[in-house]
Amino acid sequence: MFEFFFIVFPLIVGYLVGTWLENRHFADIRAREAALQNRVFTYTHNHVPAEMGACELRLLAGGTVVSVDAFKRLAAKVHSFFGGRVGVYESLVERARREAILRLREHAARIGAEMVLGMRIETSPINDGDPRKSMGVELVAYGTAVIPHKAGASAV
Amino acid sequence: MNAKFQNRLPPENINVSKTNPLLELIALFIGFLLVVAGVTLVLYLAGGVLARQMPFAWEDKLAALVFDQKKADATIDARSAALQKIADRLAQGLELPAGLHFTVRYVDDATVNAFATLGGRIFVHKGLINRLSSENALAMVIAHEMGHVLHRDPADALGGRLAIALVLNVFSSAIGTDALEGMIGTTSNLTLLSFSREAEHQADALGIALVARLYGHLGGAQQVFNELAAYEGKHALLAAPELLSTHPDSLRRAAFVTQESERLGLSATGALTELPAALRPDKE
Amino acid sequence: MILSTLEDMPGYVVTQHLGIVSGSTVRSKHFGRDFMAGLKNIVGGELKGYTELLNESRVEAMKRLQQQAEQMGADAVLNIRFGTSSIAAGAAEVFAYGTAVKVNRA
Repeated sequence: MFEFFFIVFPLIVGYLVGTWLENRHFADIRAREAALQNRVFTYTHNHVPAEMGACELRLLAGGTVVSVDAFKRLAAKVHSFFGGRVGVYESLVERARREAILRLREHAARIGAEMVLGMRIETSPINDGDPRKSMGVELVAYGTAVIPHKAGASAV
Repeated sequence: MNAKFQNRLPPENINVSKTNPLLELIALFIGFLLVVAGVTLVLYLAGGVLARQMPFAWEDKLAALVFDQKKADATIDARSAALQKIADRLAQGLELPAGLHFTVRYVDDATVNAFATLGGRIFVHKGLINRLSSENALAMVIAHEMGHVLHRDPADALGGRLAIALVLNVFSSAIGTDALEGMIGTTSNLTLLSFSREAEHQADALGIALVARLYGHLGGAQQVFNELAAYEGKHALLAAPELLSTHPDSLRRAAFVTQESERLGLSATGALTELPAALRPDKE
Repeated sequence: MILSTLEDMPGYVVTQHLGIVSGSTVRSKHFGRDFMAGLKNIVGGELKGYTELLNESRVEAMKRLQQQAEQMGADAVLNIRFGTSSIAAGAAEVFAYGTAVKVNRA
């Protein structure tokens, strides 16, 4: 009976607290995306548009590591028996991706960039070398920030 | 919006679905446990059926390897001999399948236990004998175990569980979380336990028939189960519910004796024979 | 909806750049595929079960990318890139991302 409790308790905590944290994070992400709505336009294009004129280029990256909770881990295990979409992990990587892109753009905003071009994304699993001990997902978004040369101003 | 450069936000529900993960997991889990229970069932039946086909002679040889003492130490103590005599009297006149024979041994151990295993070997512990006050009660115990042997339950259990252990090992290592492995183990155990209870009930029925045949009445037979119920009541921390135990509820088994005595038209009480001298509890 | 890994579309001019769109999916293999793959590991060769699984994932990811672009009001998605990674034991994520644009005929 005692061992049963030890197994079930982290699952319950993982589910309840994990879901609450995830929702809070998503709300935070939405707020920050809204704040950057009309600044730091981000694209995967490889050419700087002619409209930008003379500008300075800086390579930037934004990354994050999001961890899995006990509940998600178990869900993945059970899913791996039946196959199909693993919904709990999809929300995890979505969260990580939006966060990473936001960090990239926020950094670009801080240095006065108007655009981030040539954006690329890389994902890696974080585990102890053992794929069964999944600890989370690392996601990095990197790109080239384009800082226009304004008359008399210099980028930080 | 007509600006050349924009930051439109895509809708959120495309990469992330709104299904409740908890419900999803519960549904999958239930499905998974059903699969495990189903597989356990099939394997147990298959393994058991195959094992029952094994000729008794093989079972005997296997048991000899495991249980029999070295030839030099072959003197059978008086207690085992007394138990064996009871068994022989119970088996008298029975038409036994080729090669099947009963070998009963006394075990000098204080636990309250008796069990039958491969090759017709039956072991009765001191702890159980000391709680019985008549030969009739002891005969019930021995006859119950003989019932198991006659139904080839030990072979069945061995074959079935072996099959399951092999396959579930493959299953679990492929999946490999402690939680999940625990669940697999529990589910298959629960499935097997209901088999065990049915086998116990059948052994009870056969045992009762043998005792009735030998003594002409069922007095003392009930004592065993009442003793067991009292023992469990005192010693178990939580009375294990029937679902989780290998044997049917002891009181229910006692009631079954009464039921059978009525069905067979025999008295549930009667002159009780004393325990053989060799088996009476030592006077400290 | 035009999907392309290229920067430009011959015959068209981009009028508006709408933003990044992405499609991603996390899929898991099931016990059967895993079992067959385990056996295949003994002899070597293509693991058809897994290839199929990842192909399906890629198609799904592209479908989601397209859905996002459509709901954003785009005509095309340019400069698309893919990525794959294994997220947990038995589950792999496939994602595709690109820039949604509106175009006019040149």
